Amino acid sequence: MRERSLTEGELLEASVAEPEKFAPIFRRHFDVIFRYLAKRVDPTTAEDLAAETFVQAFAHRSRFDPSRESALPWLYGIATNLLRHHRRRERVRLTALTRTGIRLREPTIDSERAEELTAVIVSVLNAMETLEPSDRDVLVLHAWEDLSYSQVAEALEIPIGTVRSRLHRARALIRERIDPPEAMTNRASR
Amino acid sequence: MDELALVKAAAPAVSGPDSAVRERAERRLESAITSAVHAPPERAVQWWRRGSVRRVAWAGAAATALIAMLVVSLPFAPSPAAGALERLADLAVNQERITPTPGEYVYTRTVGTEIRSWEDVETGIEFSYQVSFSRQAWIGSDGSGRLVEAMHSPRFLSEADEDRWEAAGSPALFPEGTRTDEAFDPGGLAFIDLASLPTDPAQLARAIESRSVVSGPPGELSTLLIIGDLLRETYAAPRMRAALFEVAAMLEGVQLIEDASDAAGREGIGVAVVQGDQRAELIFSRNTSALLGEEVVVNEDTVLNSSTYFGPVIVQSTEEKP
Repeated sequence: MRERSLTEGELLEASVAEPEKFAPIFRRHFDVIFRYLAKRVDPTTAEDLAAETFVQAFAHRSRFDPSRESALPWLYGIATNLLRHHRRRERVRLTALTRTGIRLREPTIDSERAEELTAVIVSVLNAMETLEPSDRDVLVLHAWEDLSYSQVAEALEIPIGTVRSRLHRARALIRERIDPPEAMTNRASR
Repeated sequence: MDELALVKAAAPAVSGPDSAVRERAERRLESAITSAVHAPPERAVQWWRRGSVRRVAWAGAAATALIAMLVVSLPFAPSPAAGALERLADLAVNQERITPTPGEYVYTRTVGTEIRSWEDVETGIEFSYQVSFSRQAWIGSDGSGRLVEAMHSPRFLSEADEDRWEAAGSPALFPEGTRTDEAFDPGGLAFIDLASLPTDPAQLARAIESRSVVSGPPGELSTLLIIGDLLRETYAAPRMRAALFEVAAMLEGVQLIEDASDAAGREGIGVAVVQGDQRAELIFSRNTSALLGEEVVVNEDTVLNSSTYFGPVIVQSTEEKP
């Protein structure tokens, strides 16, 4: 009979007395957290904050609820908290993306419409730049990191209803600020 | 395509991290684990400094049962500041050397402020004031070159200082003039011959601490400033620059300053040493390891001097300003 492997909650609980048990948490999630941060700030800052995320996680590991299966939402939350000190850099990153960094990843868009979609994406990024930071956090965690509502709530330590309302507000504002060309919208949704 | 799908499509395509990024993060985490769990910081630093070579120090420490138990599988890392300085060392050692050929010059520009004090030996009246300065240096490989220095914008530190200045007869604050422009023949510009210095960090640390390389008062704060001097205008070989960062990493009590920026607003990695009521801080570029600026502060908020460096850049004549 195989022994059940520890959940991440159990690993973190055990790491309070045995610090080496923290190592798998780093190995499993560092890359994901780094890429999340690299989407939001420049790579140098992302490296710094990703490393700091795990330093903070280690320092506060005793606060993690051991009944939780995965530490990832919690790590997203720590990383997002650290980002709050770098809002200006995030705005710079979003601005930079609108100028140079857009690479279309939507395979169904044919090349003749790519330019049109790029323009829309620029307007989306511009709109994201104007969001309230707390609304942007929810939007990014949900849309870019594929976290569920409950995972976003866990990450940001807010009620799930707040996640819904922030997401609704963010989407409404973006909808208001962008004007996707009709033809592209029709083609993309076919 | 609704707005959520568009937001998803707008996600930047990022890659990485590469193995070097991951290793640096691992070292930082280990350092945090070590300092949080093991010993008070000063003890950890003493342990670090006892070993003349980092590898030896690590092996010695790893031999102790307590540390071995806690560190688990990976080598020790230094404090966050020392870790940052070692990353700068890694960066420096892989960079191209700035080497002027005959007829070329290394150009640097410095702007900053400093506090000057004036005392009338007869009356005992003294006052202090702050001045802004700029300095441009063109230094050739043979020690020839040009120095242009300017002083401006004097400002008394307090009304009492201004009153004392008036009581002293309002002496000229720039008795040597506000601008000097000097040309130097070969050998005229004092050069620190870094080529003769050891690149082994422990040996280099001993040489700097003996003050035989650059004179100065004893203490870690002074050592940090000397390291800044050696990294600043001299065109040291990459290995020497890396060794200088390693020596800085060994300094007792060296602190990391997150989000440091110089007076020009350039962001970088800051390291500082506090000694008594003084605090010295150096700021380095994250991308090039170049020294961006330095500052010495006394009593937490009085800036004794502050310098911001631009360059070095190779130019073709002492008239050329990049």
